[in-house]
Formats: sequence, C-alpha cells, structure tokens
Amino acid sequence: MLSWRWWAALAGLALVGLLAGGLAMRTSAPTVPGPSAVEDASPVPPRPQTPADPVAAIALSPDGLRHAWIESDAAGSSLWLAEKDGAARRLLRRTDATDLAWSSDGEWLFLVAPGKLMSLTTSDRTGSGVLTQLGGVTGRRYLGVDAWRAAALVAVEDDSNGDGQADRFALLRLHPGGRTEELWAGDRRVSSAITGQDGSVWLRLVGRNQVEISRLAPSGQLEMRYRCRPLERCSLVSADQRGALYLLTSAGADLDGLYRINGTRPPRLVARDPLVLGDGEGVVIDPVTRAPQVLHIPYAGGRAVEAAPAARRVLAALARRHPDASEVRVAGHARGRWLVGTRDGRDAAMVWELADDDGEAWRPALPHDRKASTSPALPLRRLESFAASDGLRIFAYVTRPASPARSPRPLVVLVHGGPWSISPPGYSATAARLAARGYLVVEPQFRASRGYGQRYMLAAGDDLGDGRVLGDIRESAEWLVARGEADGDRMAIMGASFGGYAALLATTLWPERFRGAVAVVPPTDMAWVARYQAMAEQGDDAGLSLRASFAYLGLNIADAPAMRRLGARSPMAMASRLRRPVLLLAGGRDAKVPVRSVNAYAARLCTLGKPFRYYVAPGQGHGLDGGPAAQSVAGLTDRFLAQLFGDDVAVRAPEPRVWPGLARKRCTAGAVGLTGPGPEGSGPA
Amino acid sequence: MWGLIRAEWLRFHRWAFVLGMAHLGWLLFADRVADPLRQQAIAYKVYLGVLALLGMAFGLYQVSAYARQAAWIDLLHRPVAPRRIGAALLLTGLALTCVAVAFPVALLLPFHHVMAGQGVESRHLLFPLAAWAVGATGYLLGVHLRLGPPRLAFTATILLVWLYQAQASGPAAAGLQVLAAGIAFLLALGDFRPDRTAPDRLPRRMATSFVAALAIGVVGTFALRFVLQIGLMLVGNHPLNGVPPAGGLVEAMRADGAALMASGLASRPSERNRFWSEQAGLSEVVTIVPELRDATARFSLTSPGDSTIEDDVSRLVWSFSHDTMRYAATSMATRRPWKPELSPPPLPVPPLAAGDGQTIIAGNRILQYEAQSSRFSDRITLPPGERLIAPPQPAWDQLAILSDHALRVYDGRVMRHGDRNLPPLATVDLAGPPGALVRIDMLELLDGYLVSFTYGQRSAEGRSQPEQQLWLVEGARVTPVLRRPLDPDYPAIMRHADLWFAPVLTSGAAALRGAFAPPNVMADTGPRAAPSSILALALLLHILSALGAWWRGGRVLTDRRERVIWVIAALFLGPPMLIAFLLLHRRKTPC
Repeated sequence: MLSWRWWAALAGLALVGLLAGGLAMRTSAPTVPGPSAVEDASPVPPRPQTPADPVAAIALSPDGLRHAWIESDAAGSSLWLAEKDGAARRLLRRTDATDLAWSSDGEWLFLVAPGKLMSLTTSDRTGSGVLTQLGGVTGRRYLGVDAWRAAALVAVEDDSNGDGQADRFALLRLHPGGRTEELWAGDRRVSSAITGQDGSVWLRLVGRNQVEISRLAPSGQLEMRYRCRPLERCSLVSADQRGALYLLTSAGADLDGLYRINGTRPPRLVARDPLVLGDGEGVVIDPVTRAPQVLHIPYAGGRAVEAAPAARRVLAALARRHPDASEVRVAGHARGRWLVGTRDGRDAAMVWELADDDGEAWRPALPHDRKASTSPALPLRRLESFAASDGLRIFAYVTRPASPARSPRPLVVLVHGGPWSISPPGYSATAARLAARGYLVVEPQFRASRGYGQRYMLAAGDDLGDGRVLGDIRESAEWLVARGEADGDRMAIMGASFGGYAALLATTLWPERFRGAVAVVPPTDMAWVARYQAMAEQGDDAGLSLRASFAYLGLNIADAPAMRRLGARSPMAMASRLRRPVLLLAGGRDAKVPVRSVNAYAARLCTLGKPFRYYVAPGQGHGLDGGPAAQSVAGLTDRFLAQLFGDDVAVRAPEPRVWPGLARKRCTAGAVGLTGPGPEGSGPA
Repeated sequence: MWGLIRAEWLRFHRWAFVLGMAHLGWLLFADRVADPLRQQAIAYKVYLGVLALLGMAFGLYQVSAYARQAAWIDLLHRPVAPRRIGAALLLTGLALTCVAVAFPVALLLPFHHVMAGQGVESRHLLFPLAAWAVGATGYLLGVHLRLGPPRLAFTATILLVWLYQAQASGPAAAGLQVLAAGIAFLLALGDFRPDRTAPDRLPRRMATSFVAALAIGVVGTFALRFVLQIGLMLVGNHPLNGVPPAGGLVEAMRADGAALMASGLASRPSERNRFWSEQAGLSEVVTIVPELRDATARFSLTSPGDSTIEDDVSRLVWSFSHDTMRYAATSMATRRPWKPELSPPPLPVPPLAAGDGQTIIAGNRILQYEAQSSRFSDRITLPPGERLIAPPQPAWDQLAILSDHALRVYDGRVMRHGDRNLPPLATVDLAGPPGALVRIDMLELLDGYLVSFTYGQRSAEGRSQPEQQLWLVEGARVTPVLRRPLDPDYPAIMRHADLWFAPVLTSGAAALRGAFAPPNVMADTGPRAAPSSILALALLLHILSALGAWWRGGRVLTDRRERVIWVIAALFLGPPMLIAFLLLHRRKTPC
C-alpha cells in the first residue's frame, strides 16, 4: 500500500500545477474589451412619429379594369387587388414586397422584395412563388417586366474567374413557373432593358466611362443606336408597335425630356416641360401601343404634362379638380381609364383616383374612405422662387405653419444633400414636423441642385465653400426675412450630408444670422470627402468613375489649388471661428462620409472648447435610417431647435437619458490617464 | 522468465480485454458525435492524461503485490537475474497496456475510414503508437513510484509534465513519447534489485539526482511564483486583484483601446497628442490580439484549431488532408467523398478556418471559400517567410492583417477582389519581437492611422519588457510618435524566480520542451534582461548550495572525490541539486 505521504505529494503537485497554471493564464491573457456599447434602449424617449404614405406601390392592369397596390401600416405590408367591379380583396396578408408590376397579359403580378422576385397569379394559374433570388452572390437584378410577354427581365452579373470582379453579364427573361431564357450575354453591364414587339431587345449597356443604347435584333445582331453624353440621363422608356424607341434624355439640350429614336435618325423631341423649368422624369405608357402618354415634371411643381393627345383632357380636368396639388402622379392608363395620384403638400399620403379619358368621371381608387383634400390645420408646403443677388431665379420649398402668424416666425433652413441632388417633391416629413412646431421652413433648391436642367446643376462648379451655393442658401433665408415672414434673430440651419456641411459652414461664417446648426452625416471637409469617395468608389450607374463625374460637375479633384481652396474654406479648417452651438450626428458605417472625418472635426471642437453635441449611430450608413436611430435624430433635432429658439416648454421637459440607436460621444477634456476619469466634455449645445 | 510472463498475463488479461473493449466502445461512440482524428491539442491532452493516470494506477497496483519485503524476496529468489524478472513483469504490463490502449485506437482507424467518409491520413497511423506510449509511460512511472527511491521517485513524473508541455509535432512528437516511455522503462527496470535499500553506484545516484533536480527546479519555480503571488494577495497588492497599478502592463491589457491610446498620448503632452487623444475617445478603436501563437505543421497529430469548413449550401464538409495538403470534400448527405470540378489549391501548411468559417488562414495566405461555387480563392498572400498571427480583423471599412513581421491594412473589399487588385493601404513593421506582442490598437485618422503596439507577453515570467509604442502611419510613411515603458506589475524576485532558483535546469527544461519542435517565431519574446540584484542573488544561492553540499557531504559521504563532485553539481545546478542531494542521502528503509 502507498503511504499517505505519496498521496499527499501527488495531490500537492497537482494542486500547485493547477493553481500556478491558472495564475499564469491570468497573467498572460490580455483582456480585450468588446466594442463600445450602444446606449441602452431604456427608458425610451418620446419619438416623433414620421408620417408616411401608406401606399408603397400601385399599378393599373393592362386592361385598365383592375389595379393592385401594396399598403403598409404599423404591422407590416399587405397586397391588395381591386377587381373589375370595384371590390377590393387582399391577395397577401403580409408581404415584404416594396414594388409591383403587372405582366403584359394581366394574369400575373411581379413583386419585388429585398433579395427576391416573386410572381403571383391574379386568376387561378399555377406558378406563383419565388421567381428568383436577387442581389448578393446571385448577381441578379430585376429590370422590369417584358412589355410583350408574361415575363420579367433580370440582369445577371457573374464573376467567372473568382477575382472578385464581375466579368460576365447577361440578360434573362424569367417566366412564371420558372422557365428561363437567356436573351443576351456579353462583357458589359446591362443597367436596363426593354423588349420590342418584334422580339428585339433594347439594352442600356454600361462600359468604362461609356453608356450606350443598343438594339439586339431577333437575329442576335447587336447594333448601337445612341451614345449617351457624360452625366446625361439616358433612360429607356419603351419601344412602340412600330419599333421606335422612346428615351428619357436631354439629347444635348438643357432639360431632360422625352425623345423618340426611329432607326438611325437623330432623336426627336416628343415632350418636355412646356414652362421650360424642370427636367422630365417618369413616363406613363399605353399598355397596348407602348406609346408614352404622360411625362412627369416632378421638381418644378410636381406637374404632369401630356406626351400624347389622349392625355390632354384628363390632365386639364385634373388641374381643375386639384388646383393646389403640390404633386401629381399618373400611375397608369389603359383603355380609357387613368389611375391618378395627387398630393396637396399637407399630407404624406397621396390620394388615388380613377378617371375616364374625358376627365369627367372620377372615383376613389382605394376602398378606404379617403378625403379628397387633407386638413387645412396641417402645414402647407409650396414650391416658390426668388431672385438671387446675381439675378438667377432660385427655387425653394416653403412650409408654413397652419396657424396664422402674428409676428415673424423662427426660421429653419433645411438644406438638401448632394449638392447635386434635390429635396423630395410634394411632401417633406421633416419640414412638416418642424412647421408643426411653429417654425417656418425653407428648403432652398440652390444652384447645383438637379431637376432644373444641366445649366442650373452645373452653375456652381466647385464653388462649394463660401461662394455661390452658400450664397443661395443664405439668400433664401434673407428673402423670407425681407418678406416679414421670418424672424431674422431666430434662424437655424440644418441638413444631412452636403446639407450638414452647408449648415456647419453657414453657422460658422454667419453666426449673427444662424444661431445654431444641426449637421447630420456632414462632410467636414468637402475636398477630403470628394477625394475619399473618388478613391473608394469603383464607378457609378452611368459607368463614370466618381472622379470623372465630379470633374464633369465642376469639382476637379486633380486640381490641387482648387482643392486646397475648398479645404481652407471647410468647417474643419474654420472650426476655431465657430461660435454657435452645433448638433452633430454621424453613421458608424457611413461609406460616403466616413465617421472618422466627423470624429476628427468633433475632436477639433473638443480641443477648442466649442459648444456641441455629438451622437453616432453604430452600424448605420449614410441614411441613418435603420432601426430607431431615425426617430431619435428627429427627437434630438426638435429638442435642439427648441433650446435655440427659447421654447421654454420644450426646454423644461426632462431630456431622455438615452436616445435609442444613438451613442453619445463626449470630449475627454484632453489626454487623460486610464485611471483618471476625464471631466464632462464641452457643455451641451 | 516465460512462466512469469504467462502468470502475469493470466493475472491481468481479462481486465485488459474488458478495459480495451470499454475503450473501443467509447472511441466508436466519439466517432459518431465528433471527429476524434481531428481534434485540438487540448482534447488529446485530456484523453492522454486519462490514459496515463489509468496506466499509473495499473503499475501501482501490479507491483504493490510484490513490494512488501517478503513478497519481494520471494519474487527475486528465482534462478533468473533480477533485471530479467523485472523485464518479464514490465513487458507483460506493456503488452497488457497495448491491449487496453493501442488496439482500440488501431481498430478505430478502419472504422472511421468506412463510416465517417473523411479519410484516414498517414499521420493518423501514429495514433495507436502515441496513445500506447503515453499509457505505457504512466504505467512505468506507476511501477517506479512504488519501487523507486522513496523520496525521489515521485520526481520522475516530470516525464509526464514534459510530454504535456512538449512542442514537438507529428512523428517527432510520437518519437518523444516513445523516448519518454523508454526512460520510464529504464527507471522502472533499475528498481528491480534484490536489496532496494542498498546504495546505488555513483553514476546512477547522480542520474537519479539530476532528474530529481530537474523536477524540483521546474516545479519549484512554479511553486515559488505561486507562493509569492499568494503573498501579494495576502497583503492586498496583487495586480490582478481590484484596480491594477497605474502605468502597468495589467492596466494596459485591461484597458479599452481608446483609454490605452489616451494614456500613451498623455505621457507626452502636446497639442497634437491632445487632439489625437480626443479623437480616440470619440472614435471606434480597433483592437487586434495575436491569437494564433502556435504554428501549424504538416503531419501534426493534433489540430491547432478548427480547419473544417461546413458548406450548408452545397451540403458539403471540407476537411484538410495532410497527405495531399489540400482540402477534400465529403457529402453531408451520403458521407461519401465528393469530387469538385476545380481541385482546391495546395496549401503550404495546414490551415485554420477563421471568422465566418469560410475564411482560411494557411501560413502567409488567406483564402476564401465560396459556398455557391464550392471554390477556394486566394485573397491575400503575404511575402514569403511571414506567418499570420491573428485572424483577419475587420477595421471600420477596412481589414487589418497581422503577421509576425508587420501589420497591414487592406481595403475591406479585399476579401472579394483579392490583394492583386487591392494591395495594402498601409504596412507597419513590428518594432519588437512578435512573441512579446500583447495587443495592437488602431485609431483611424483622416489620412492614416495611429497604431499602438503593447508588448509584454510573459513579462510575469521575466521574458519580455513591457512597453507601449505609438506609431503614426500616413500612406507609406511610418513615423514613431512615442515609446512608453510599462511597469511589469510583479516584483522582480517573482518574475525572475527561475533565474535565481534554477537557471541551468529551467533553461534545460525549456530546451527539452522545444526539442524536435517546428520553428515558432512566437516563442521569441526578445532578449532577457534581469536586474543585477537578481543575478547577485542567484550567485549567492548557488554558492550557498555548494557550501551546503560540502557541509552535508562531510556527514553522509565517505569518499572525498564524490563529495567534490556533489559540490560542483550543486554549484552548477543550484538549490534544486542541493535539495535532491539531501533527499537522496537520507534514504530510509522501504516498508
């Protein structure tokens, strides 16, 4: 037998080994902290509700007798169908589809959802289900429906050699039930496609810095018919029964319009804005002849103009019926019936009606009891214009509170992003929300905005610092002050992306005018962000590299002196001049304005001791539109403006401890050691 | 002798078969729920540890029947030399161990090949040998524990510690296990002598003492550190308890990246550093830890990490074969091999699967497996001679790759487009030994990065100098910002316990641990620097050990020449040799 000493020695050895091993592990394994936690989502602060149009998509059947729509509510989306007799039935109780289209024979609905394309019978046919997966590793993209066959067109991009770059492109026709035809394959990307009655296919092919419209004959021969100019809109519309192609483009002119291309002859103008104010965008096509009927002019008044005589009477009747409409949208026309939506600038929801060709019989298109016009107690948004100091006519949306003004109101200048972009036509939820709080809101469509022709868009060039663009923005505010509508001592400026940049710049340069700024995902140095984007982007839909696009727009990244000038006039370079409080918001995964550029600006403000608040939405991109972040941004903005304008009621209300979806970032008041907690950063804005 | 073998076989063969069947049943069960041939080292260590303990129990039990004096006399009173008697008992025991351990493992291999679909590789043929060698070592140590010198025999268990810590790989590891079994066999065989109380000859006593001193040196160093840490805990001064000391390595290891950056920058106040410090506090600081410390080697018996890829889209399982150095697929549905159209690329070293399980790290290469096409694509290839020491780390919209030579930052799209299209955006060479690297923290600046390297791995064992380095990376230009020495947190007497207690023996033990091991750059923690006080203490202790051996030798030894040899040994090997000498020369009569 073993003596107790043996056992004691063995047990001791094991114990020493275990303890020493455990200690050694503790001393050698680094403790790596996890990612910084997002602020806890409780307690939940009051969230401003964002009004939205419940009808996400609507379409008229090719026979004009039925229409289908996707309706959203708090619980989700559902698919509805109005039958010939006007009775509506719900086809799908729940759907994730965001868009829909009728097949050419009216037997099928194609539903586009994130990551998939589905077909759904509207009669009793078999074959409903997922037609194909989209996006991701499939490389498939939905282009539209085949105008002459019950099928959908899908583009395919394939990386055949595994180098991560798409090198094989194809166009597929997918029939309900799963039958697939390959219509074309080649080495250029198909960005859009339409089919002709004779079996031909029109392709918008994108190569490096080159976009062209080509016709694929039934014999398989590919023939280039139109070469698009740089930055020119070049959208396929339809191919009619006679084989002519309709294209939405400018064809070298200033405004985008509807053009007809027949054979090899040069494009012939079919329709454009008769007031010569805005670009055309969105066309209604006759499902039988495939000829365009109506052209929309969304940004210069939200109008619809005729592209064929058949639309004349109904558009005239529409103008009489809704004289105050801020936006008109014709969703379809077939066999004497028109599906028309109008929005009056007060409500997010569009009112949908069915009309006859003469515009005499109108009836609601949706079964719900919708009012023909919304409450006058809601703020009204209108497109107006003023003369800039150099005489150019500048457009601006003005949203006025519904209550009568006894004195000039606080003004919020809401600047859109881009700058080669536009404010949404018709209705703006942000403007409506701010106006409902008693502020006058102006959204200047400063030069460099699109939608008003190429000359308007290119008028600014690279003058994006303290120059013409910022001048238009400032003058939009002064215009309303001069009219006695706005209080010149109570003005703030806000915007997202370029709008945030402009807001920071304006409040830095003119603190006597703007008492504060809300800058959401702002480029703090436009020259740096332009360089970053040009380096990061592979190319855009038009086949142009971003560097080339910027150059065509007037911002030449290769022009070092110009870039230095732009950088020297940036919010980053002029941070020391900032005197007014600023609310900064950034997206943690923003690919357009990387969060590090906003961090650097915020760090600069920290070292300078400037008053600001800074929030980051972790995991969010440029839109800050995922999860609860969007509502928190709205709530923060409202509170910030209330503080600026001395709204005592709002200021006295306790601030929520956390804003869901947002992480507050604070200054550390200089370099501090690990064990010495830094004092609170700069005071609240 | 043959009669003794037969008797001993009959004594235990039923037990051996029962144990062998139970072992086989357990292995077959394990084969149905996992892949027992492709497990990580820790799983095999636990399994082999159980085998060694069972073997040790068997050895203790077997010879306990003969160890009492009457039985011992009876055993050795035969017309056979004592060594042959011992050989008969030990060889029978080894044969029984073979039945209980090696045969079940050998039977597992064809079963696995037929049933699991994932092929048995040539390296797996060593599994029965390796398992048997470890079981046999345990068995022989059990015999030695019972029959060997009462105060020193337990030190022979250092052989198992050696096997546990050995870095050898593949056939070399199996060879090392057989070597350990051979040493244990010689130790056990030497215990078979008629008078176990009679003193040995000097060479055997010296050898026994050396093994004992080695064990005392290794275990004693651990014990000293342990006791010192207990002391730190008792006085409330242990750096791991509560708030770590300011400016120390433990604080740096526990800090989040932003705080660590700020702490480093605060050590050199300036306008620029204050700006960066603010920026770090506002930004997402990316932390990279060199997790892949073990190098992978071909024909290794263990898997350093998970290398299996499960493709749920194509219903395939991809396993890496050391024979072909390629991945091979097995269908999940049929459990049969599946042949892809495009053969997977050969890899230079066995890979590891990282991240989402579709990213493969193989030495200096990173590959991506695409489930849709069942294809492997090379994405990043580092220069020859480099090895990844951390999995690819997403860093904002980029990807950080850490090798034993440099930190590289790639565009995040590199895992789709490859590094031929997207070369590194920045490269920062490591300024210190890679084995000493604890963590890297990166702050993204407008046009570059601020990178913090924290060194000090194994500094609690005196192996590296804790330090934080900050570098500014702007494109191809890398400039030092500052170096901040960090406090090692533990007293030098604890960190350098091996140096003052048993420098020669612990160095020898380290060499034994690394014997036949593939080169691993992560073992390099840089040159060792100890305070002169530690060196003086070591010198003092070694001289005292020699004096102690001289004093004690005068009492227990009669041969003056032998006394001098022990004194020299104690002077050279220090206190452990003195302790072994004292234990050896106070031998009592065995019971």
